[in-house]
Amino acid sequence: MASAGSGDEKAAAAAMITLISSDNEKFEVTEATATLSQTIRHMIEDGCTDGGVPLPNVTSKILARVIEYCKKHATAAAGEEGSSSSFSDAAFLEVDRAFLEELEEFDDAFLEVDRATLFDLILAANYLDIKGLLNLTCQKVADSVKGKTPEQIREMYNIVNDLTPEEEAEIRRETQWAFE
Amino acid sequence: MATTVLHKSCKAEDVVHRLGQVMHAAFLHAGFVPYGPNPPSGHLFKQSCGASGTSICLSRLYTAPQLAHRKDAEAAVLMLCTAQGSGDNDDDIALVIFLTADHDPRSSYREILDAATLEPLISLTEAERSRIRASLGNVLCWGFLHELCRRNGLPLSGFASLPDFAKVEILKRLRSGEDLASVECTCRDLRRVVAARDGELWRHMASHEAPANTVPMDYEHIVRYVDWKAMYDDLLGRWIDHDEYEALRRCASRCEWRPFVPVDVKSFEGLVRWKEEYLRARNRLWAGSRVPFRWTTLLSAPKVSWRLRDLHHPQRLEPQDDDETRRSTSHRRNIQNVPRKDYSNKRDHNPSGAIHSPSSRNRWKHR
Repeated sequence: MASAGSGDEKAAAAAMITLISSDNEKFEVTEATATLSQTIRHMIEDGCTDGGVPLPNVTSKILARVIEYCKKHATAAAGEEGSSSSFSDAAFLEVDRAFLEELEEFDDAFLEVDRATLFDLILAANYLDIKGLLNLTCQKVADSVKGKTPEQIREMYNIVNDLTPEEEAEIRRETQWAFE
Repeated sequence: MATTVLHKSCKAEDVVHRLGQVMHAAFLHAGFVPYGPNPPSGHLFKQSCGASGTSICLSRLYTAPQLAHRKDAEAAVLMLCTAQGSGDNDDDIALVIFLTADHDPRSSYREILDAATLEPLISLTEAERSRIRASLGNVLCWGFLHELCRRNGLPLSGFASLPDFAKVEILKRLRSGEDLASVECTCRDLRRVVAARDGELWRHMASHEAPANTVPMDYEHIVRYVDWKAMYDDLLGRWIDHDEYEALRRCASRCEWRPFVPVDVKSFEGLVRWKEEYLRARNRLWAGSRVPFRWTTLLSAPKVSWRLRDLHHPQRLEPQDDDETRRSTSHRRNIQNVPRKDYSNKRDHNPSGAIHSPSSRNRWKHR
């Protein structure tokens, strides 16, 4: 029994991955959480995670947020898998819907961040290759420009208008249909 | 004097405190951190009173997190003051935001707000407060944070600073061609990005857009029933009554959007720009969206005009072939063999004489 117990402990310890942010902060996460990132998954498959996974493009502030996202989505995925084997079809659908609603609520709350953080999350999601997070954050930015004029978009994202009046007039002519 | 006289009003004070809470949350949402001496315990702001003691002024400093540990760092100042407005019973609230080291008054934000207009702030729900906080934070406060970082040489991620691939990922998720065109018009860099990814972005729009301002119907339905005869053909050569029409319309409105451009990569790529193809498809769709208007016109006709069903020989309504495809293609031929006098009889059966839709007058020529 003792040996079995220590084996379990060893397996649990082996399933933990250390992520190291650009400012040298270390985060211990489970393998299930870490493998939501395809980049880290490939590193694990290649056996390159001994001594931690350095992530030089991600600050500790952003990495903490990314881990929060991954933990939630990994837990939801695990719960979904577990429920699929132990529930009837109808019960499974109910549980499935509850999972989705909970995840949606989490995602909405997760996106309540300042603009700079949102853009940093996009970059981190791309670097770590987390498709769900990339989609979520990019869609948030895309939705924010919905129905806005170029002037409003410039103001919203502090974009400097470097077009000459002639260029702007030409673009206006080309895209007049969009502003009718 | 009238504009500067301070007016004591409990309601205005409530409003200014609530506005202060919302603005404080908006500054934090934008990424600022509070800076400078802390206000008295339990308060968000440093508060001072006017000379006559009838007005209040709330203020607080905020700065970028990277500057928070520095002494005398540049900061954004938020000030909220109550003042008597121009009318006898009006209270105004002055909202001012500026950067401490920026002496250009044009860079500051100054707004005179009517306290009465802002009274709903007092009874907002948490969800509404959250929405207002996000809007103010993302637009107003974030602009100051961006300027503060720029002036102090601090890196701040913004749309313009994103690498091209990230910009493309965002642009791919825009929901309409109008939005993509608006983004394209903002600056040279975004124009370059959109032009360079013409196929990736405009093709995506042309293939997947559910255009705004068009009827929420399946485009194929609209096209299929572009005229009466087409609808007639689809219904196996019989007319429908009003109830059937409504049922059909309900059915059509439940259909989901499908790509309205036949995406054939080989025929398009290298021949046309996807933006141009998008525009062509858009114009086609808009032409198609006029069809329901015609239906509406027809619906407004006297109801008797819909009672034309079953006036043909009943046997034509029955399937003439087991094969569905052959049936649908053969019924037209059968209908065309109907003797002309049948249509005359039909008119005789409807003596009201109100039925002269284009189809009934000119049955086979209007397609």
